[in-house]
Amino acid sequence: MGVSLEVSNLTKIYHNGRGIKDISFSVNEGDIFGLLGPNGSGKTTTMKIITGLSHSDNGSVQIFGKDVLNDREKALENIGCLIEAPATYDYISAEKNLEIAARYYSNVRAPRIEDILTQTGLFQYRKNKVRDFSLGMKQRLGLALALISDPKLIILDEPLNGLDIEGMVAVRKIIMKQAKSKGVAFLISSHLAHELELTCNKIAVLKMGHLIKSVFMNEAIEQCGTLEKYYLETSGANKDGAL
Amino acid sequence: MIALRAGIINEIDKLFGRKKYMVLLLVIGVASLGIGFLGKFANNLIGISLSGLPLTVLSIATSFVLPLIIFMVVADLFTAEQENGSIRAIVIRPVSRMSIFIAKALSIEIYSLAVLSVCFITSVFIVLIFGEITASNIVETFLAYLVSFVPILPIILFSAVISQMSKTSSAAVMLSVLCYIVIIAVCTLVPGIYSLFFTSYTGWYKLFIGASMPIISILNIFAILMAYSLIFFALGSFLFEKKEY
Repeated sequence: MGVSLEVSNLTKIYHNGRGIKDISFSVNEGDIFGLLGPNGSGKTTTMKIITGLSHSDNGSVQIFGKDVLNDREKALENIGCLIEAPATYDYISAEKNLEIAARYYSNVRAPRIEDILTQTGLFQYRKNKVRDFSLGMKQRLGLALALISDPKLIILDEPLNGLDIEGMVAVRKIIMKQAKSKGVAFLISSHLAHELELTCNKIAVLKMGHLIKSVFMNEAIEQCGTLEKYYLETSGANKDGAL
Repeated sequence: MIALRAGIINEIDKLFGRKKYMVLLLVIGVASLGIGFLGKFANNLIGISLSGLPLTVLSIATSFVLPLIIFMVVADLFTAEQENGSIRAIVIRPVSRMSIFIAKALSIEIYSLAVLSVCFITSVFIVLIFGEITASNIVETFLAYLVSFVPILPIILFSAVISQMSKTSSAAVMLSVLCYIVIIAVCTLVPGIYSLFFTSYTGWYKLFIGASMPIISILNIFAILMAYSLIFFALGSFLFEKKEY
């Protein structure tokens, strides 16, 4: 399987001294790679640099062999993402939001927009303005915007925020279907260990801007029984006296 | 070019997706018609002759109405999107930031042209109704409106630079208005520097009407306006490129 994403020695330190240091990992085609860590561990910073929303102090990001820093437009051709809150225009409809995103891709046509609205359960609300959407519906629209270009790599930062149980199951199904049937690679961040355990096949544990460990999910489960226990073990939360 | 075209269509789509910009065009049209009726029936009261209405409306539009509208649109398309995070919807797409910046600036230029078009159509319509304009006057008036898009460009890019340095859209509007007023005030107080500033040429259409057209003056002013546009474009796109979201 080819490498979809290669992150090497990624470093970014903010003025307050926080940030990420020497983060390295790779995501292959069909992988669902989870970034697990507490708030402030550097998950979002890492994802923002990968998607070109932020600049790194050091290191490199290769997406299908193309460098995000030097060849940004080409590198972003095959990715879809949802970083932090969904980036939407709330004064226009869900359908219009998708149309705006679709114009940047020559291969996206109207049927694709309808298909993605159906997949994310928003078809009946497509003409509604986004300002009238609930938090969960906005999150679904954010996911639809990430999927619109039929990307080969999808980056989702806390994708289950605001979703009810049905929504969480539906999103998980979409992710697993895309990975298995189309070989789409996923990079997903969350602080919910159980959700990542149900979805991902690889996992990396982040703490205070450092990547502590990166393993296959089945290895982590074999070692500790659950991902939560694995996280507590590797991050040293028990030893630190946090629990 | 495909990305730039998509960007311009998107920005115009977003602009007209906000009701206030449609209402604004309507209000400008009604105001222009209103001035026309006042000119016809209350000429002594407001001192505007109906025959010169299209150019009077153009003068009002270019000297302060259009700059104010531009400051508002720039704040909405640049600062407000950065403030609420919706700018990320475009920045994560396979399009360069330079292209995004150009698309936003050009769409504001297009909206400004829409404002001028409404002014032209309504003011010419009213003078045609009352039969106080000739065909040659219409052509001359059209030319005056057409060339007025040139001094708008540096104003848009000037405001775009300010928008990159502002954290909120209201601050961007206020700062743009304040800087614009200060520049005009300084130019008025120190007449020697009047010709050096881009704000002094919103009425350059006057060079295109009348018996003779001063080509050298037109070229000089055009060069000044383009020079300001290039400086503001370089600064604005540099700041936009460096932004983190």
